[in-house]
Amino acid sequence: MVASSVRRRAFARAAEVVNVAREFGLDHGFLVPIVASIGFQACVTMAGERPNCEPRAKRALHLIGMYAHARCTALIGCESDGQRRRILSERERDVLAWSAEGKSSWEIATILGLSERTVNWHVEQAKKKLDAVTRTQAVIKALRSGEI
Amino acid sequence: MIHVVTSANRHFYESELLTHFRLRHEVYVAERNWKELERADGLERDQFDNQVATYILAIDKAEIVGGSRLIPTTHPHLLSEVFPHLASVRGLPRAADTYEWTRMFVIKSRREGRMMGGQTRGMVICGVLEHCLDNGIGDLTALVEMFWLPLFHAMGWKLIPLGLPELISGEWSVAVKMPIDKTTLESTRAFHGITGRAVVANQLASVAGTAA
Repeated sequence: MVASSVRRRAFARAAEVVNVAREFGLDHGFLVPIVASIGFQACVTMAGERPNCEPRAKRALHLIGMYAHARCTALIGCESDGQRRRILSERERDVLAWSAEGKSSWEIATILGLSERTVNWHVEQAKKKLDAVTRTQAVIKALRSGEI
Repeated sequence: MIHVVTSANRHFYESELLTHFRLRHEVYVAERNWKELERADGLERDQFDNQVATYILAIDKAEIVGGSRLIPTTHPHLLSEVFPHLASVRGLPRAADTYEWTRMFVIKSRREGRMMGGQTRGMVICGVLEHCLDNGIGDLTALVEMFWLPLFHAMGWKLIPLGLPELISGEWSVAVKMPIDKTTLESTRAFHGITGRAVVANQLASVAGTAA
């Protein structure tokens, strides 16, 4: 159940990314899956109007993608073995993720099987931790920092 | 504990080396299905397992739990003889202080945590580094599968690609040069939570101890 809801969320966000990219003229692209010895870690995508997708270019991009990912993880300070430095609890991430999908407190309460009051409490906790004034700001900060 | 076996001391380690060739067969042929390495005697040995090879053996209470191999790049080695085209962009470095690193393995029962392989893999890697730093080896070359890059980057290593990646035995692989120094050893130890040396101080006494 949890896995499928996470997957649904991931697909919804992936479709959103593709749509936004298209608006910016990024029609064609190349995706490098970052796979470590412990499994799938992340994706690095490169796109443009007329990307060079020759086999040689793709092999170079594969390499560049892996180095870019390593550099980014080093800069963010999270370890590439998947243990991100997270400050939000599982529940706080859940309620913010559903808020990002446009769900109201009542809807989130129904989805997660919690009371509306509890959902609001988790949102308030998340706002405090993220130093956000509004729920929208908390969602944006959580997305930006990779919490959700 | 890590033991370094060279032509100078290999007569003390003949049985350990045989076990290590058998384990390599288990890991590379039985487990990873590298058919071209299959041997009827169940010992995975190639043309580079000769007198110039240095072996890094991880031995825990007389059990071989992991290992690795270093070949001087001034002699024929895997990248020079079999995969020279993988170094076609930057060229293949060959120098007295440059060794090729191959066949790093950890037995199946010792693989867990810390990017798979855990403490044992960390010990093997630290063993390789300590041996190199002790002997003035400043550069390693290797043919690595791309899925190892995140581990090495996380350990703070600098990896310089020598050419473009190619699909080898179903895995994207790339030839790299790895400059190593004291900082590399420190960050590798920190990553694995290893304090102190991996290579045993008195190899012969330790082996006698494990045999007893």
